[in-house]
Amino acid sequence: MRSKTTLGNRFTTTVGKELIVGVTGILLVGFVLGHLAGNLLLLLGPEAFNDYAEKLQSLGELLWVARIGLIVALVAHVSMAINLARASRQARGSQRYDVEKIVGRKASATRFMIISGVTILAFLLFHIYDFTISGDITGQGSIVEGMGEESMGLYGVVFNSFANPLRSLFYVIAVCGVGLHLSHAISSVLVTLGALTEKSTDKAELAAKVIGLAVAVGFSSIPLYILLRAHVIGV
Amino acid sequence: MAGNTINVTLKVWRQADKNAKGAFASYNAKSISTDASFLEMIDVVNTGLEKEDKEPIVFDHDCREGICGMCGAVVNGVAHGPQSATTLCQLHMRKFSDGDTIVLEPWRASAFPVIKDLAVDRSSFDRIIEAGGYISVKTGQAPDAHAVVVPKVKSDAAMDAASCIGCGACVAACPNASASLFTAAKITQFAKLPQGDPERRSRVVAMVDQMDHEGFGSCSKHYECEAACPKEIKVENITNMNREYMRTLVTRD
Amino acid sequence: MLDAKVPDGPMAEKWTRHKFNMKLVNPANKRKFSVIVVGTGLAGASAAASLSEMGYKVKSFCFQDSPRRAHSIAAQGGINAAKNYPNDGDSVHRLFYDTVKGGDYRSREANVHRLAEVSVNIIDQCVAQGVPFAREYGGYLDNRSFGGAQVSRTFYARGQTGQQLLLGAYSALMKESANGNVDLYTRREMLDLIVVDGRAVGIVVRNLISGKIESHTADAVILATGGYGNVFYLSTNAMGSNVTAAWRAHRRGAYFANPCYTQIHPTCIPVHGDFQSKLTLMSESLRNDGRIWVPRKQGDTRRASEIPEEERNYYLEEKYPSFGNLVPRDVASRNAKEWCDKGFGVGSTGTAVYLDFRDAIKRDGEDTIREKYGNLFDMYERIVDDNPYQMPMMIYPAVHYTMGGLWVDYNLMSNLDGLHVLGEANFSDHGANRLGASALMQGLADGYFVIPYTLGDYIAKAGPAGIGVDHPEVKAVEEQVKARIDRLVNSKGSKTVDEYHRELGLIMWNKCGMARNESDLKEALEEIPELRAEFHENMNVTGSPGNFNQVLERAGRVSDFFEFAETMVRDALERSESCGGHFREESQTDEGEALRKDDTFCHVSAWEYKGPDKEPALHKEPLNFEEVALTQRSYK
Repeated sequence: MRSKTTLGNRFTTTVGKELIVGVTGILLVGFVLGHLAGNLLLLLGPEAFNDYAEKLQSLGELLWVARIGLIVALVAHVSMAINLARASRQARGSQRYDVEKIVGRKASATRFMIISGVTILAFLLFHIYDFTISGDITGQGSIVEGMGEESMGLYGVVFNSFANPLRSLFYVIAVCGVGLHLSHAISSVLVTLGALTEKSTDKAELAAKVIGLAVAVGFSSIPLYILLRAHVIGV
Repeated sequence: MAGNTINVTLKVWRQADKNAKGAFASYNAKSISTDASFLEMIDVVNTGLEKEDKEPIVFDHDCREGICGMCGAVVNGVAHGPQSATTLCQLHMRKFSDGDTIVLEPWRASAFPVIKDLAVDRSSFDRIIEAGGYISVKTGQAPDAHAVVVPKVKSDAAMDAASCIGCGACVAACPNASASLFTAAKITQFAKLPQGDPERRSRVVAMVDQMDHEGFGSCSKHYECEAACPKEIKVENITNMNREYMRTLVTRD
Repeated sequence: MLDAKVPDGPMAEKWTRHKFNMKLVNPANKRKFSVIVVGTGLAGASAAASLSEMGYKVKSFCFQDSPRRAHSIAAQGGINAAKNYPNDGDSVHRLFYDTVKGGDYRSREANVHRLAEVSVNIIDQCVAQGVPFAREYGGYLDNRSFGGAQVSRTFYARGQTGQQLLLGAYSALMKESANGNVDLYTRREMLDLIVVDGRAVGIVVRNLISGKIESHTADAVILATGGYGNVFYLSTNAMGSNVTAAWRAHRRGAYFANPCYTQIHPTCIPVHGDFQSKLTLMSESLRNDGRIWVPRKQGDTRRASEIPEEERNYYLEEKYPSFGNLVPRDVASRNAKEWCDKGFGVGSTGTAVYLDFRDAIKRDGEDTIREKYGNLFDMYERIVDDNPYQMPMMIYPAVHYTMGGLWVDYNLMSNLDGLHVLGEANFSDHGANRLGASALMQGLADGYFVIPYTLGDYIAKAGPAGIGVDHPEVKAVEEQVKARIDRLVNSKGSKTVDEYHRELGLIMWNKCGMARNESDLKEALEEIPELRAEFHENMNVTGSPGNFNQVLERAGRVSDFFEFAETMVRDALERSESCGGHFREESQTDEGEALRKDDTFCHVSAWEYKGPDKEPALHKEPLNFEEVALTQRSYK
C-alpha cells in the first residue's frame, strides 16, 4: 500500500488534530498546575505571594516567550477541538436518534467537554482582562482594609477582588469548570497519545478525577479563604 | 427454558429508500415466545404484515449466530439492544417484559446512509479496509508458517482485535459517529504481528485518511463503542492506533 | 460420458505432472482476460484475490452487503493441514487416506490427494496474511485433534477459525480491489448463467437495492456459491444461503452431482418452536468431554438432575464401546434421532438428547471445563437460558453441510465449458461425508492453489470468449430473468413465502433427512410438486421488483429450492445404499449400521436437467480406488 500524505498532512487528519489537542492540552494543564501552585502562595501571606510575583516579572523576555507559547497552545487547542467537534456533529448526521442512552463507562464530563471548554475560554478572557489589563495591574495602590495604609502589592489586588462575594462565586464556578474539563481530559489524552493500556484505564480515570478535583478545590480555596478573612474572621 | 409469551409494541423507523424522509410506525407483536430471538420476533411481525399485503420491515441479517456482522439496530437507544456483548440476532425476547414498547432505529451516521427501514449502507467500512487493512502478500509467496515465530501474547492480542465482525455498532453508539474502534482494531491486529510490520506506518496513515474521508467523526473517548461492541473490542485498540500514528511522525516504513 | 480428466501417473505425482503439462497464459496477456467470481466465501474470495494477483481482470459478486459476511465466517472448529508439526505421524498420504475413508469411499481419489497436498500451503499463506492462529508459548502454531481424528492436524483461531480465514481472504480481495484489478459487486444476486455456444460466458444478476437486472460477461465464470442446506428450511446455514446460482447453472446444462449427500451435525441447539428461523451449531469438540444420554423411561418428565445414574441410557457408550461419544457425525446424529423417535427424547418438544458435563466437571473441575468450552457454554446459555454447568445441555442434530454440488472434473470445471465451481458448491472432495475441519481446507485449496492453475490452462486453450453484454443471447437470458421476477411479483396469494419454505423443509427433513426409505422418498416426490404448484399459485410477494425487496429475494430462492428438492429426493431414491450422510433404511447391517453397496453404487451420480416437469437424466462417473482399499466402516 502507498500513502501519499506528507508529514505535514499527518496533522490534518482527525487523529493528527487530536494529537494537537492532546499535546497542547498537556501544556495548558502544566500551566494550570503551575499557576495553582503559585497562587496557593497567597495562603501563606503577602510576602510569599509578592515575592513570587516579582520573580515571575523579573523573567522579562522569557516570560513573554512563555506567554506567547501559551497563547499559541491555547489557540491551537481551542480551534482544533472546535474543528473536531463540528466534524463529529456532521458525522452524526442530521437525523438524530429518537431514544439515546448512555451505556459507556464514561459519564457526564465527556459529554460536557465542549461546553466546559467554552466556559473556561470565556472565563479566561475575563480573567486576563480582570487581572492583567484593567485596574491596578501592578499593585501600586492596593491598600487592603485592615492591613494598614501601605499598598499590599499584587496580593492586595487579589485580596480586594475576591473580597467581593459575587466575583468570588463567579471564580469558584469557573474553576469547577476547569476541574470538570480536566477530569476527562487527563485520561483522554493518555489514549490520544497512545499511553493508556486496558489495565491502567481505571487508575488513569481515577487520577484524572483526583487532579480535576484538586484543581477545582485548590483554586476555589483562594477566593474562599479571602472571603472568610474579609468578612468573617477578619484580616 | 421459560416458554412464556409476551406482547410488545414496536416503534420502528420506516424509510422507503435512501432519499425518502422516514418516520416511525407502530406495530403490535403479539404472543411472542420469550425463547424467540429478537429477529424472530421481527419475523413474526413481518409475517403479519405480509399477510395484510403490506411491505414487511426491511432489516439486514444473515448468519443469525452472531458472527457475520450483518444485523444490527438501535434498540431503545442502545446499539444491538440491552444485553452486552451480544449481537441483535443473539438477543432473546426474554430480556423484555410483557407490555414493553421497543423503539427500533437504524444505525445513524452520515457515513452509513439508510438504504431502507433498518438497513444501512456500510460500504465505507470496506473502503477503510481497502485503504490498508491487509498485508501485501500474494498467493504463493508465503514462507513456511513456522519460519517466523510469534509470541503467544502478541498472537492472542492480535486475535482479540481480529474478532471484530464489522457490524458498525461502534459507529452507531458513538456520539461522534467515529469509526475509530473499527479502524483501530484492524490496525492493531497487524501491528501486533511480525507479518504486519513492513507496512505498519503506511497502513495506519492510509486507513485513518480513509476513515476521515468517509465522513466519520473523531474519537473523544466516550467509551460508548466499547460498551456497544458485541465482540468486546476494547478502546485500548484506539490507544494503539494513535501510537502507531505517532510512529509515522518519526520513522518511515 | 463424464470425463473427470484425472491425470495419469502415480497418485502422489498427478498434480505435479498436471501442473507441468498445463498451457500457460503469457503474463502480459493475462490482463486481457476477465473472470467472473460469484460468492465471496473462502473459495470465492481466495480465488478472486489470487486470480487478480496473477493479472486477470476479476469481477467479484456477493449478495451480502460486504464480501466479509459470507457464511464461511461461521465455521468454528478449525482447518486441517498435513503439516505434521506435532510429529505424531501425519502426512499428506494420511490426510488423503482419512478423507477418502471418512467420505465413505464416494469421493474422487485424485482430487482428495491434491487437497491433502496443498493443505500445507494454505496454512503458510494464511499466517503470512496475518491470520492469528492459536499458538503455543514458544511462538509456534498449536494443533488439536478434531472430530475423532487420530492425529493432531487441526489449526484453529479460538472458536472463530472460519471468521479469521475469511477475513484473511477478504483482506486479500480488498487489496486487489485497491489495486484496481478486482471490481466488487456487493448486494448482487446471481439469477442466471449466460451460455453461448456451450460456453459459460457470463451471469445475470439482480441489484438487490435498486432491483435493476444487470448482465456481466467474461472469459470464464466461477461459482463459489456454497451449499444447499437451506432446502430443509431449518439448518445451520445463514438465512441467505441458497441454491439459486447452482440451480440456475444446472438448468443451463451443468450437471448436479450427488445432491442427496447432506451432513447432519449432531451437536446443535434443539428447535424451540414454530417461530424458529435457524439452528445454531456448537463445536463437536464438546463430545470430547460431554456424555450423551436419554432417560431409560419413555416420556420421563423429571429434571435431568433427578434422574439417577442407573436410569440413564448412555446409548453411544453402550453401543459403540471403543468410540463411545466420539463416533462420526452421521452415526451420532442417527442414534439421537432413533432414541427420540422411540419416545425417549427430552425437553419440551421431546426432540433432544442430553449432553452432560457433570462427570467431566467432577473429574477436571469447573475451571478446566470453562477454559475449554467457556464460549460455547456462554453461547448455549444465551440462546437457551439454561446453565450447562449445572444442567446438562440439550442437543439435537441439524443440517449443516452439503457434500453434493455441481459436478466438476479434476480441473474444477463443470461439464459446461468455462463454468468452474469451487468450495461447497462443487461435489468433489468429501464424498458422502465430510470430516470435521475439512470444509475450510477445501474452500481455500480450491481458491488459492487449484483454480489459479487450472483456470489458466482453460483460458490458454479456449482463448477469449468475445461476448459483450449486448449479445442477443445475453439479452435473451435477461428477458427470461425479468419474466421470472414478474411472475413472482405478481403472485398475490394468501400465504407467505416463508410458510411454504417451512413446509418444504418439513417434507425434506421427515422424508429425506437423517434416515431415508423408498416409500417416504416416493411420497416426497409426490408432495413436492404439489406444494410447489400451490406455492406459485398462493404465495404472496409484497412490494415491487424495482427496489430493495427481501420478500422477492426469498421467493426466488424458495422457488429454486422447490425445483432442486425434487432432484435431491430423486437422487436419494436412486441410491438405494447407505453411505456416509446418506442412510437408506433398506440398506443396513444386522446391527443397524450403514451398509454400502460398492458393486452397484461406487459412482458419482450426476444429474442432467431435461426441462421443467421432466425427469432429469442420470449420468454416472465410476469411482476407482487405486490407493485406498474399500472397507466397511466400523466404530464398535
